[in-house]
Amino acid sequence: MPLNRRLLAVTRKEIKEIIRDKLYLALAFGVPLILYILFGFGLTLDAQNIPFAVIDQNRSPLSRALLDRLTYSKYFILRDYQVDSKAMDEGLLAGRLRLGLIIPPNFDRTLYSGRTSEIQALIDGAFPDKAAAILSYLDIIIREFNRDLSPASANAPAGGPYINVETRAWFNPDLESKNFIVPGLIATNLFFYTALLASIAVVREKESGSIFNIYSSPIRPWEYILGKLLPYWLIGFLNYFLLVVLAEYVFNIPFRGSFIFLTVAACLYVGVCTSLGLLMSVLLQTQVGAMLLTTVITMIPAFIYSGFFISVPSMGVEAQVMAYLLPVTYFMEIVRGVYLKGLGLTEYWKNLVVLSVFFVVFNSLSLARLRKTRN
Amino acid sequence: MNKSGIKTAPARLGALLRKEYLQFWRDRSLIYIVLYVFTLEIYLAGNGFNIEVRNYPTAIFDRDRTQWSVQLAEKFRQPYFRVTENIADDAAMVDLLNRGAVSLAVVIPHGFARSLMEKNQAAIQVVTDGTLSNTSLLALGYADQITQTYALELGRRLGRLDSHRERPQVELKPRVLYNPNQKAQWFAGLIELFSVITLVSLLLPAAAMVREKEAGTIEQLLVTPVRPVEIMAAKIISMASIVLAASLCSLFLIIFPVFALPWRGNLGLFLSATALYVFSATGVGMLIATICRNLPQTVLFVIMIIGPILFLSGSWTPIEAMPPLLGYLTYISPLKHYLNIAYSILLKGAGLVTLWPDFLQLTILGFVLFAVSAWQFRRKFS
Repeated sequence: MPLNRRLLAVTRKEIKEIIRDKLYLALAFGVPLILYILFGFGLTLDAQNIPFAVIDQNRSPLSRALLDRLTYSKYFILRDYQVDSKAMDEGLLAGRLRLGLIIPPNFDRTLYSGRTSEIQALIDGAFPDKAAAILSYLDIIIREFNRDLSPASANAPAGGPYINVETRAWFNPDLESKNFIVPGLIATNLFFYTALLASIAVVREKESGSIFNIYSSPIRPWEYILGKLLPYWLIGFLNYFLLVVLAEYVFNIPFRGSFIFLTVAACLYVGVCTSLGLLMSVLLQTQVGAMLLTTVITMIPAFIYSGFFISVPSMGVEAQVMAYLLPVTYFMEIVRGVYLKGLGLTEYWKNLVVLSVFFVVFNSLSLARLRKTRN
Repeated sequence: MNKSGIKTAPARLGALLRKEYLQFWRDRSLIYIVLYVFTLEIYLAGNGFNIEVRNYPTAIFDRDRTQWSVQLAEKFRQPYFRVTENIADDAAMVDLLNRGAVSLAVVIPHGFARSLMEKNQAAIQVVTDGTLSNTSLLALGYADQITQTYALELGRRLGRLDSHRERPQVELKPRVLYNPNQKAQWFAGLIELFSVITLVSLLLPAAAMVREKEAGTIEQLLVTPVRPVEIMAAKIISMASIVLAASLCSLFLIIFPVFALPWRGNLGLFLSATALYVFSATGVGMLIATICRNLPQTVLFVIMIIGPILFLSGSWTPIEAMPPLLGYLTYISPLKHYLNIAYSILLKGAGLVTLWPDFLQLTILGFVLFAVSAWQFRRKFS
């Protein structure tokens, strides 16, 4: 196909419109960058410095020793010592405390006589994932405390059989959350932001009425769609390079796969995101409607269903269906696989096929809709 | 229009409000979108969000194939683990973990049972896909717990545990308050509601204002007897009332009936906190509208500031775990205070006695934001 002049005219006009609007242009590149840096540095799901209070009714060296284990770990910070139980309830209610511990009066005596002493833990369950983390940290600390209480059982389990669990984490041996969050953000940011940028392309002309010039001109619908697609595709693709460079030089994320493969995949993926935004632009009648709808159908689902926080196979059935309906899920696998697992085309060619299907479907819908309104 | 009617401020405001509601009512697609985000979107987010370890996809690689190894493997089951594969060689394990089909592999080595029998001690390997480090860490903890419980059970059966009962031990009696069954819907549904309130209260009034600027109708309004502040107030009041009504829809259509959140708090207190929050957010929206010249700019600007607002609220990352500088910055995120108030009222049944510090800070923040935008608005349009 020779260079299509009508298509390029649409592209040129759109690029001019984007470049003329300096604030828009700055925001088009600045916003994903700001969000990326903010989330990349700050988004951690690891609970740390959990504020807690204690009512130590025992006040013995032994109860103090248990408390020290909590406060010396990086997970807990002692906010209130020896409050009354009403103040503890208030603190949990106000969200100032996440955990309240109550050590019974006969704690040390019970233990010295070789029996089991119970301690109570009140946990703020308002954030379920944090409550689960608090429980498991407490459990680990108390298990270690128990082991040291009776040195005989420490390494040679005189009592019962002992099974040692040797753990290893592949792909991210130090279990650093930034190693999965930063590559994940490349997928989510490109998804909602590229779609959002493209969502104004057609609807802007509808609002101003200049779309009628297009309807009455000899340009064919597919030329118009593709012409509108190209500039935003380019912006998204440039954003991709920015994010990858920052991942390398600012966040120091290990990169184990092929950069060329990732770039090819990203190019296709950004095309899919642009097409989705353009589809919204064709479907809706006002700019605010198109942009708001694009934001809500891309931004939140991108973080919840794409496998950003939790792998898709461990989701519920409904959520898995949602996940596989979103293009971001397929690129999320690619980007994390290339970064952390060093995988490439052999493993992910299917993802590329699915992304191509999305591209064709979104643009066919746009074309069909445009043809219908034109006639 | 009746001349004497528009001389008083309330009458002018009333006329402007009528105009705003009419304009909103005309854009049907916008109404549907607002309804969608306050109902279905919240349902979807509440149901989908889950970062606990549940049904963690697991593969078992049992090289021992004895009664004990099979028993131990059977302990890896729901709710924490879901064994999807039984594998027979290393290559299969590598492949499954690579593809992400399983996130955990339990390897029970050859000679496991014999070692337990003879030396009273054995080892197993647990390999996890560390890509999603937070869930991997929890899963490893559960795997350890399950194994130790099995060891204890085995010891009891073999009668090797006589000395165990005499061992001093601390036992944890945990009680999870407010959400004892750890329903993720309550947490995620409410967080989503607060995020949606923020997005809509920032965007709608800003969009309504910028549209007047783009169309030039703001100049037409300014030559009428209405004052600039009244134009701004009409936009804020109309959009804030729409957001409040939509929030009520979301509470009574989704969160209470569908997610079965028990009724604990004071609705009046919740609504006044929400009103306060929505007013400060719409104030920010108006400020954005004075800076931006067209709608695309406005939306991108809103996205730019909504990221930090959501992030600094502590809804995803606990504030305690942030770097100290970011921790201090959270005080200027109005959502942080609102989140704590709304969460404590709805989930914990807290009252004003407990929450007044957050109320006070939210009020101060709201007034400052409102004053700045009113000042900027007058400067631009008077």
